Amino acid sequence: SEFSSVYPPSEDTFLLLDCLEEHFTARDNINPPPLVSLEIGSGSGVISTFVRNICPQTFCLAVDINKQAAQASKETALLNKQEVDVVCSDLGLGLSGLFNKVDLLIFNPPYVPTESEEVASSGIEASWAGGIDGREVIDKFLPTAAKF
Amino acid sequence: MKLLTHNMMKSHCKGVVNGFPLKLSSTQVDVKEIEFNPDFINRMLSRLEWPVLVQIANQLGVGEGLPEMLPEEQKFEDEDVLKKIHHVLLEVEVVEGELECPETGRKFPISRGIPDMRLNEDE
Repeated sequence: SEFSSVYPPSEDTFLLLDCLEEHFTARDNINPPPLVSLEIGSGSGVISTFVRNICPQTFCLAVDINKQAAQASKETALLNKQEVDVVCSDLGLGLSGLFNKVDLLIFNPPYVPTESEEVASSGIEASWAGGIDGREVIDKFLPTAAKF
Repeated sequence: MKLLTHNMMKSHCKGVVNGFPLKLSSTQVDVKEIEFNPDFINRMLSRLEWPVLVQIANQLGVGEGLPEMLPEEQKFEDEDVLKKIHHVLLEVEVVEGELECPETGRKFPISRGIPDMRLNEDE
């Protein structure tokens, strides 16, 4: 299939969706809606699509290193009639113009402990391979997260 | 790729000092109607590189009516102006084309609306 290398929505996806829904639809939520949302590793695209659905005034950008996943993200948004722009990128490289401009940063990272070598992939392994202690991608991204 | 997205993109080629803006060439540009929200546009203005937006919009032939500069308070009251900015930021989509690093000339393809910013290890 066209999207065979894309991580399908799974338990961790749903957990993140629940958190986002709780955060943005809580009755006592007094925060203004985020202006800019950036999702790293959007995979199937359900999370950014969902964010756009519950925050229709938010500019939603999704990135993925896997080209099939980037395409899937675009498709998912389109099928759900939600506006999500997508960039094929490694952890947001190429989007440094968004530093200090992101209100909502989302990442369901690969976290499965694997060999280090498995981390450098742009296929489906990129969705789970977390390297040593499952931390390599997370630790690599954290400084950039702070910049966004 | 919306023009708002382009406004946020910079080249990350090795050794590049500025990398912004990425040059754009396009072979397919679509326009679609997106719901207008004046507050969103006004809130977004201060986060934009305005001259680059105007430049790109003019290049694509959609920049008519865009103010040359932002007012000091970075806000517009005039809804017609806000609608023009809305149109340029969100309703114009580059579907097929190419971005180019202004320093190295490295090309990044845009295909099916998605720019591919991935570099090889040695880049």
